[in-house]
Amino acid sequence: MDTIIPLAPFDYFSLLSSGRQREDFAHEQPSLESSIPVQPLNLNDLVLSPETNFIIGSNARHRIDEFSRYPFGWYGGKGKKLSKWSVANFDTFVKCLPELKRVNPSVFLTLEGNLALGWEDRNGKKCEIEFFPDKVEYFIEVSNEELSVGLIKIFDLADRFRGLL
Amino acid sequence: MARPEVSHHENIVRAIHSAWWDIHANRGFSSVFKGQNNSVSRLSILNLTQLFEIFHTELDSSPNGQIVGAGEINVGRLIEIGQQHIKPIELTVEEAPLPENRAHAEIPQKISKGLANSIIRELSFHKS
Repeated sequence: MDTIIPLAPFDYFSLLSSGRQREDFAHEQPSLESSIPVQPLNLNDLVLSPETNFIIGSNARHRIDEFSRYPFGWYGGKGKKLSKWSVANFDTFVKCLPELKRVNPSVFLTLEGNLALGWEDRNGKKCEIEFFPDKVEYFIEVSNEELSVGLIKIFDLADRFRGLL
Repeated sequence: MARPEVSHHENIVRAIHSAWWDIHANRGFSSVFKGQNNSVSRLSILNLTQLFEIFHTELDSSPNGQIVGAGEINVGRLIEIGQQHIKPIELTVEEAPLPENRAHAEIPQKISKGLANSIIRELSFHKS
């Protein structure tokens, strides 16, 4: 039976297209600081999108479920809790790269609390992507690329990796 | 004062957390070695059984997280991997004993994702 993951992305795009205003969500997020962007949803009650759940498969879903329960200070006091913003970016990326399913990618959690993906390309070379709250770091072994890009490039990055699958 | 370097002839192990190793897919992630001041342990001081006991005591605090294994590598080979990397780097392993682990040592240099993956490929994996 599939595990239900108590995590999900914050969907800026749905918010932007909904026409709702910050005030509409005041009752849902009363403790938010005014400097934080509008957050329409209670992130604790959300789930990964069905598309992402399908693409990553049951092993990865199970691992994310476990990661979500790691307390602050896991790994000898060094690990941070899983970042919901990282999960959101992970979900956005995976949804636009359904071909990932073919390579059965693995999910990992970094000490910074970021979700990451890893798999091998068609030549058996490593591909890795780490989803920070505000950027994405990736490694492509075949071209020895190890770079960091802003979230605005996430769709371009998905296209790039599509060409390597 | 500079810490003594561990002999090139010694073998070291790195504790591997389940967050960085997908046992189901037998696939590791660069976090196993990426970063600076990576902790390792010397097999010439404590054996694997003794080290796993320490790893579980010190690092298994997560309810579901666990040390799934340890990756072993020879110090001399580790240094060679650094020298042969596309961006060569002189890696060292320095003695850094701790009260809870007298076999503890550190790799002080900053290790990139690419180099970390090259090291991971050469590890002998010991399941916990």
